[in-house]
Amino acid sequence: MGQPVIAFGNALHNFFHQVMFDRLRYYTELTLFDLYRLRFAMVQQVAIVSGICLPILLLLGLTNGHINELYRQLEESPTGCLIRFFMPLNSTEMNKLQQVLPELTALLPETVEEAALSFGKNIVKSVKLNPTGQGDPRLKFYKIGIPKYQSTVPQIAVSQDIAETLNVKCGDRITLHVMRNAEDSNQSVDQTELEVSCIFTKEQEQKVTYVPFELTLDIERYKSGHQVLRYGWTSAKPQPKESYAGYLLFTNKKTPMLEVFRKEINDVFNLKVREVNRNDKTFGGLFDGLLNDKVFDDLLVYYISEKVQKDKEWGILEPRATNQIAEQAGFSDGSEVAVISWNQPKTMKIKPVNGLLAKEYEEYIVLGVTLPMDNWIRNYLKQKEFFTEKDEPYFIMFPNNEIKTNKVVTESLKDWAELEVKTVTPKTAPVVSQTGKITGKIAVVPARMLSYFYAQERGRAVYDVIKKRFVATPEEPRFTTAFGFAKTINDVSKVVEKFEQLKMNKEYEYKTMELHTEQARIVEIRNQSHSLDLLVQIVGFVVFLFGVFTVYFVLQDSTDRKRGTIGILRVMGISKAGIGCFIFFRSVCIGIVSVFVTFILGGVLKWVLMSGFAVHISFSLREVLFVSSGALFCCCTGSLLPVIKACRIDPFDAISEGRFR
Amino acid sequence: MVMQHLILEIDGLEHALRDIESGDTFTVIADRLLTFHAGCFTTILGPSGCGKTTLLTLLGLLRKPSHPKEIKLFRMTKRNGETVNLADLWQCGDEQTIEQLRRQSIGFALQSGELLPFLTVSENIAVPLRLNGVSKTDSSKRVAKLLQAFGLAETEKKERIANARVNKLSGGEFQRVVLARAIAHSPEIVFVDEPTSALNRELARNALKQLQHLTSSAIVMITHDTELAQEFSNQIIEMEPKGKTGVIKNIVLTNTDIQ
Repeated sequence: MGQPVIAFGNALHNFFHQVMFDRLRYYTELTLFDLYRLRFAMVQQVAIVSGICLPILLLLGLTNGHINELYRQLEESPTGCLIRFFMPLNSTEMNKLQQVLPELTALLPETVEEAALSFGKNIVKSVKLNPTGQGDPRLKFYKIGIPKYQSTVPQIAVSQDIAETLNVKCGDRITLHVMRNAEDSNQSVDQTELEVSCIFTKEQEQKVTYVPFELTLDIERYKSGHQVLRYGWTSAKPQPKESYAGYLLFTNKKTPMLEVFRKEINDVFNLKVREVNRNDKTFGGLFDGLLNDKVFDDLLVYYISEKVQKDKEWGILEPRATNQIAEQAGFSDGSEVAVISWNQPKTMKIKPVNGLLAKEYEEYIVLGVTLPMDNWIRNYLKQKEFFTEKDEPYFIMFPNNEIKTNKVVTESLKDWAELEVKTVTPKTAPVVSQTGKITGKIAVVPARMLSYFYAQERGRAVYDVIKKRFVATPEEPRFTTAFGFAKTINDVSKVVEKFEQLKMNKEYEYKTMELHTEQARIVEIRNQSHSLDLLVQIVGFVVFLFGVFTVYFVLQDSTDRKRGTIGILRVMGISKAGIGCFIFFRSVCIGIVSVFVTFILGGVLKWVLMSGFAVHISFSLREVLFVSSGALFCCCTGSLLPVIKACRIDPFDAISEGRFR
Repeated sequence: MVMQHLILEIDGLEHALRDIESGDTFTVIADRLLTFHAGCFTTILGPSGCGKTTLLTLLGLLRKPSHPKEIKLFRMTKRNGETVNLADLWQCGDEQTIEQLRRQSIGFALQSGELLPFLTVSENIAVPLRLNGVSKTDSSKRVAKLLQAFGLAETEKKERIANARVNKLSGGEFQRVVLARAIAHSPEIVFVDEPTSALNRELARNALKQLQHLTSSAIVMITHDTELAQEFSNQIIEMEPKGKTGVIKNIVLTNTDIQ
């Protein structure tokens, strides 16, 4: 069974390899010899096919070049790839949006800052600072180098008229003067240095500069009243609103809090009241050492807070942003009642600046208490020095006298934010550990200061090291409009599509969220491109169709001239299929050579037309494929009838006729 | 010369030629038994227009007989003893086998040569070999031998002939190349059509001598030259025109030992 199969396989292999393959290879060899050695005939045929293909190639190239030029102009113009976003965005949101839209090379706020520039005695009082950044095509268009937000000094690109007025050259450091309204309604001016990176000529616009986008944000922050540490610009913001977790209310034992009043506190202020006894450990060192024992003998102490603390000793109550004055006024109606605003003592890490006593941070329990002089609770203080009557200035006291220095830093305020230490010499033994119930070390600060420590922890306040006070945390500058640049014209459409999707998905909760682009112009060019493409393809198709006839007549004539050759081959036993292959291979080779000739001539003509006549011609793969397939289509289809006729030639007649040709 | 085995036998073969312009018909009839042996030199003699070439195209399987069914005998025996009934092949129109026989078993040296103009002398001689699947190397060796045998590679000048295009050849060289190509693939039978038409008698004589010397095939030659026919032939077939037909007038066996 196996041997016949192997024999059959071998026979099949021999047939294909030795007969079919060898014979086909020989036919190809004959074809190439015929084409090369009798090349005059081939040149004629190639010239005809190239003559059909070349005009189509040029027509396609012209159309493509025209459209590409329109796209290029649009792409290189400052507005072609411009996309304007009408939506309020801060820098974080802009970064996020750019990540969602990677088609954008740059996304910048649409804002122009006004400032003054000076160099020595020369000054320009009003210049426009345009934000820019990497990928900003406007600067590329005007051939301006992009100024960098360098770590030393930010750069600035200035127009020639500014440079002339200031008498500066590239590399000079000029002074930027920025101005804002201060708290007292007066104007304050600050300044910083900038390095001139580039001087550009832009005649249509005067007194224009380009600065890094980050510098614009800094100026916006400054104008909003925030500190910008990099340039030493201080904050102009007021202190943040103080907030307390609750109040300690003291009253004489003879006048306990009435149920009506308790209900009123609950109803009007939405707060709850609980009585504090001498065993209550939730108030830190207040009752354990700072107030004397007579407090609970003479007074009733209530804690008024949002929720009543039960199980935990320290700091679960959140400071509340409430109307302190109204609340305090509500509780302290009457001279027999004393009220202290209260925040839970806060555990903080503190160390002296000069490191006299401690090299590393140590944990302290920081109490915040402020007691006005007229508050009769002062009568129950063990040491009155520990309780400030005012919330300012900021200071910190160490009742146990552990730190003997005038400055400390806390870990939360970083090393550069120093706090003044108010030195108080204790008259009595240290308060801590008198009862043996408080294990940590104690520090005392004004009540508002503790409130700000909490605010800072929660991101609602920052410490201005220059002014040495807490200010409200700045909000990131928000711009109503931003503009971006798509990488290419085609990317504009992608951005528009994605943006519509973002709107649909409601990923940004803005009421106004609109785009403005050159999409209409892009669509117009695209439509024009489609129309021209269609037109050229129809023309090309018709020309190739007629080309088939032309090639047929040419090949038929050529085949007639080869009757003698065909006759000899047939006499020598070549099959009809062999003759067909010979003629068909010849046509295909003519087609291939014609394609090469067409592209060479096309390339030469492109160069001549583009350099001599400023015509835009562009060949892409599409054009190459269209013309190549057209040429091969013409040659293959045009050769079919000549192939059939050549196969039918009577060998002897062909020799007889061929002989006299 | 001792005749070898029978290669081709025919009897009752005819072919009608039609003049398209006048509509006249001329029929070539071979109504006598003709045999062709290996090593036998046959000459077809006769005046112009008597149908010699038509008979040769019939024998060489270039044309289809007019009435294949009425053929009495048309048979080819190959060297390996295989017999092919050519009448049947024509009858059933087996063109593939006919083309194969033409490629493998028949050699042609037609009037005026007819070499392929785009090939060199060597390549022209190699065509029948390459068509029969002989490798390039083997065919080159065979071509070199033939060039040597036909005196085309004797001198430095003739070395160049091997690689020259055919339009550079003289008449004698051309005819020898044609003869070399006709026997390159060692066919069973070789047809030579008027070798003297482009050559003088002396050159033709030399060429035919070489041909006779180099091949053991049956050789069939058409010529008007009676003297040449007498000199080389073992068998002479005389033809004559008879009205609108061309017929075999006589078959003369000359210096032969046909078995």
